[in-house]
Amino acid sequence: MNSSTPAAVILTDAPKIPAGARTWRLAAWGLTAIVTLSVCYSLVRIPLQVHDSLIPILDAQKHGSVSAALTSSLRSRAYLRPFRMVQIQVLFELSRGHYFVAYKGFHVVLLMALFALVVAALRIRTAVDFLVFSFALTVLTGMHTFLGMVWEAYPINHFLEIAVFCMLALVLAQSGGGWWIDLLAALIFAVASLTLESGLLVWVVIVSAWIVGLRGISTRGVLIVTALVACYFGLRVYLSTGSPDLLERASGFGLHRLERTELTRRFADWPYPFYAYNVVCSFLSVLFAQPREGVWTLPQEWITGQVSMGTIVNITSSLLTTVLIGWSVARRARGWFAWRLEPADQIVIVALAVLAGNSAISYGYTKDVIPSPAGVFYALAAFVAVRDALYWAGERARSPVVHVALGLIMAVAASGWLVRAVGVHYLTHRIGMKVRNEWVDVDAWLKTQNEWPTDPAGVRLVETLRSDAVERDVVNTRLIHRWRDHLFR
Amino acid sequence: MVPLWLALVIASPGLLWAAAIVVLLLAEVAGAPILTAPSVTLSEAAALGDKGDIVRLVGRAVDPNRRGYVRPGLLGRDEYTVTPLEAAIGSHRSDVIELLLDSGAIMNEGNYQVLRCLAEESRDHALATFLERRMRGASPVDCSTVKTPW
Repeated sequence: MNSSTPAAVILTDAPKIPAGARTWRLAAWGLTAIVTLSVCYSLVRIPLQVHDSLIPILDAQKHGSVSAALTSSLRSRAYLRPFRMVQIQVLFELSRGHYFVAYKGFHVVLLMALFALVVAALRIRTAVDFLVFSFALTVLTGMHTFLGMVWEAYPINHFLEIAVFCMLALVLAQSGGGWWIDLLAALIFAVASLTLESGLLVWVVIVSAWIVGLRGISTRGVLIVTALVACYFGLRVYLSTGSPDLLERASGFGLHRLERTELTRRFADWPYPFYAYNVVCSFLSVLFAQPREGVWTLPQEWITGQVSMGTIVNITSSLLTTVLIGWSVARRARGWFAWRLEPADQIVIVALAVLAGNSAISYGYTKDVIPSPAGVFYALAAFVAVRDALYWAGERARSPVVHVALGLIMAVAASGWLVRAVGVHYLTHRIGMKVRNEWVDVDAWLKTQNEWPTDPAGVRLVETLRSDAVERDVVNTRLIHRWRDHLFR
Repeated sequence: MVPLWLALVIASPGLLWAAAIVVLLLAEVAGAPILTAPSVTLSEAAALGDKGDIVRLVGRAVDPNRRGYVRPGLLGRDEYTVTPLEAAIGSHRSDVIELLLDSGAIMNEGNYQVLRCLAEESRDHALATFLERRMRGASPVDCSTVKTPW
């Protein structure tokens, strides 16, 4: 036994490589490359955003240097996100005027990294692995939390970055280990946590992976990262960063989206029910595709008599997959109590930890993209669950009735996820058109935000970005049949 | 032993998706795209209220006063050949009309009556008031004598 592996953890699924493993691994990489290419294609059809992107880009121009950007962001109230601004600044400097190429190019790299890390984490070895992986890919891309990682940009999609860091942490934990793995783990935690508060999830991945016996990141590495967590909170106190006003933006609640004034009226004195609601909603949203951004869209649509096909597809596919995951967890739980963990158990437990951590971190407000790391890990758990179900059907369940029932469940779930995965392309095109239209009114918008540049260079930058956005060919989704709006949600 | 048919049931949507992507990409590379983005005329962009397309087409020297084709379903069941300003009435958005006017579209005594009557017919009183404000001093309009495109 490996000296770093605790005696309590018995890896029953010893790493024996079956014949043909290389072929199936290559097939998985090929399949991933195709899907990644298509998602990246849709991504680059979206112009840079106005809301969320333009002001940080103008700030980068004003700062003029990385050190100025860093200093400025350290003075920020409520948020400790220095690497966010540093990254924006670095790309701004490197772009040499080609802003779209720089920011979208980085976004594409992040997406590629995410897909690659998912393949690496799942360790495809057999034909069954490969077939189930093709399902997991549709879950990954079809998940409603995934869309926000594609279309949103600030102008870097930091939620996608955090998901990449979380997956990288898992892959490092699965690795053979070494001092440089520990160093890398510490580094990615530092960058992630100083980019976005959700970066703390990297610690959740590292610790939960260590607990279940994934020792690529050693005990020393886990201790270092845990010390960095303490340093992170210490730094927040030292810089008097404080915390954001948690009722500072509109958020879904019940059947409606409530504006700030309404949220303040209801929860300013006692905000804890609102926080609890957000945590529960984020948790349920990943598992059941309801509620969306804090709003229970199914009953809302039911009341108005307009239940969309997309809502039904989303809920059905998520529900069936979550039931399969739940069934798989129940079957595996006996081994967990005896602390006999297979690699598949380790993935599922880490996924559950990420889901819990991600939900907790979403307490401030709910938005589909916030639990995106949990969405990625949900796809990993779905992979394990479906593979379990297939082996169970082959080895334990001999009844044809059980096979047919399982086949029906899988057919409905897989078809639903396919619809959702295809919908990502339609929805990104629709968003692309919306973003391009927003650029036309950018002057007015900047003025309402009191951010209209006062210097000629700033005005030129806005003009450059606007003409670049307006000249981009986007698909006019309003000319496409309206049923797609009902199907893709 | 895993039942193959069950494994294929779960895998086939994902594999079909990947195959479709490959076919679409190959067709694109071969210069025979299967999925093509529908292009719009300036009048269609105005009818849809797509300001991005309006700015892009005007930037490509499309005349904002020239009649253009509008496909069925955008202004009604039929197809029409109308000016961008006329089509913009169908979008029910004064900001689109404003943008067209800023982009060189001309509203004068000649076309004001048609525009105003289109707004009246679609019961868009806010738009009718907006047009009236923009054409302060224009003669009163009697829509019973004005022929509108739809």
